[in-house]
Amino acid sequence: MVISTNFPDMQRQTDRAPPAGNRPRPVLEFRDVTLHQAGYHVETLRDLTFSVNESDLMLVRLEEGRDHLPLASAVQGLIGPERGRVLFDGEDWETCSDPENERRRARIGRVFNRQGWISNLSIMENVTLAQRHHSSTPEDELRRRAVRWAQRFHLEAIPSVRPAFVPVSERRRLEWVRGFYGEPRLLLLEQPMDGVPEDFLPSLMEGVDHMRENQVAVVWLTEHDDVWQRGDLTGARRYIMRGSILQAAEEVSR
Amino acid sequence: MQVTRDDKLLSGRIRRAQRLQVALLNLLDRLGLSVIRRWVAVSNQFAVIWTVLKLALQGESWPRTTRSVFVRQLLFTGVDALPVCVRVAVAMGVMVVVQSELWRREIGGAFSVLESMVWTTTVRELGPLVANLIVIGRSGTAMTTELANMSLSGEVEVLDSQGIDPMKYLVMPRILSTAISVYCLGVLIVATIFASGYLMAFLLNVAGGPGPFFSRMSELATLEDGVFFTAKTLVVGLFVGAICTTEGLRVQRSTTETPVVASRSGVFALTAVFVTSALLSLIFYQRVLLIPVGELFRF
Repeated sequence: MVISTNFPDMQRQTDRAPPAGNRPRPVLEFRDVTLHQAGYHVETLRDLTFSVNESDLMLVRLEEGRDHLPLASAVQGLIGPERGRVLFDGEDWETCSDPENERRRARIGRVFNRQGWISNLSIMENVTLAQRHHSSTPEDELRRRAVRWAQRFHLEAIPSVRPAFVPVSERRRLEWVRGFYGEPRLLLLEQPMDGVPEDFLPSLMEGVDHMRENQVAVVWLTEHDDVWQRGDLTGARRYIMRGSILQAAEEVSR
Repeated sequence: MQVTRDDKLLSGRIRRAQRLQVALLNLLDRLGLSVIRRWVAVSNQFAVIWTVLKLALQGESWPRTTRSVFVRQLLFTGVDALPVCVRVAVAMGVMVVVQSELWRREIGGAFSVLESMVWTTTVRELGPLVANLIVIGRSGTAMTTELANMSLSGEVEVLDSQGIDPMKYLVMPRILSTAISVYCLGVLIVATIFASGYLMAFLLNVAGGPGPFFSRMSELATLEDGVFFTAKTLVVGLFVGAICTTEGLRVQRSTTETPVVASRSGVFALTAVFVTSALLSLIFYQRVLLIPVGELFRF
């Protein structure tokens, strides 16, 4: 069964599209970054240098069993690098003030590697939390937008119960809703297909394509062969984690 | 050179003295570290409370999400504690009047002799103390456990990653709602103690009509009582909230830490209640126990 869908809401973002012929701007840059393990993250990463421009898709293949990387947290400036610089939208996380960084983080949609829910809030409250916090959009409108995204990922509705009462595969797709919703500048997907039947992969990929058409940069971390081996990831730049080093896939295959 | 018996005795004494010296130094070292740790812990609580009060005065600290958390916490800490506060206060009102009447009969005189004492004890000591104890037992440890579980399961990072400052979203509303709840519950407890106490006195036939009773209570009320009561509820409530939230967020590694920090936060909060109340009494009465502070420093 192939599940497909449309995303008309994202067309609103084409108003922000740069004039044709302009080079896409870098949304995320890592400059010679070394990240040491901290807390939950048990790996050290060294000498990371890459940039992700608007509409780019950066696909990173993780080694099996080594998915507790500090990479996603460093992308969001939640942990600082031991060496090097991490820039989001041209600004270094370390040089901006805390309130400014909070506003910038709200522009990053993220699907977490592990539990990504606030357990004492309902699913709807979780999905709309960042938008309710950072914007003054009426709650009814926020709920309507969230429900439209949910329908595009083939969810009937957004439950009003707490996350513990929702099945895992449905909960994972609800995380997609939270990540995609809110017009992010960067979409960070950490193993989004974990616990989700393969049938839903096309709908996720269509969502990713739509985000890219709207100048959203996408970073996708995966252990799964079925994602890595897909040939229809147009223009994806592929990388492989080897221990603490990130290598471009072309380098690995030489 | 021959080693004499005296030499051996002397070296033995020197070694014992050295061991004693090392033991004393170790003891002083541990005491000193203990004092330093407590000082750091107390300073941290002051810093948290100061930060919370500064944030609370800034409009941008109160988006609708934070307001929602604040209201929920007020409901949980304050409103949901009403029944237990009323029950406890009714029982205390009865006990206060019964004890007062027993002592009045012992020392003689009218019940009105003890009115002032009952008023002051209830408003300045019993009411605030009971309100703090109920909040600690009912809400404080629950708050610590909730935040510890959030910290362990990565929910604090989830908030951070969405650009939501955990200090403004988790800590500030909880500390403020705890302080306000302690104050409001304290008012309720004091009022209920007097109401149930009056009823008991009426049944014991030692009280006059309700009108003279309540007008006498209002005569006894002073500005000092209000200041004292407010300090012992709001100020102490801030410390209770700060301790319970910060202890919970310290948990980092394992769920086995959760019951330990919950228990520890309850004990710390209780200690803070009594120590802060004693310090406030010292400031207001300018006495250590019954001895005026000025007299303490005469020698």
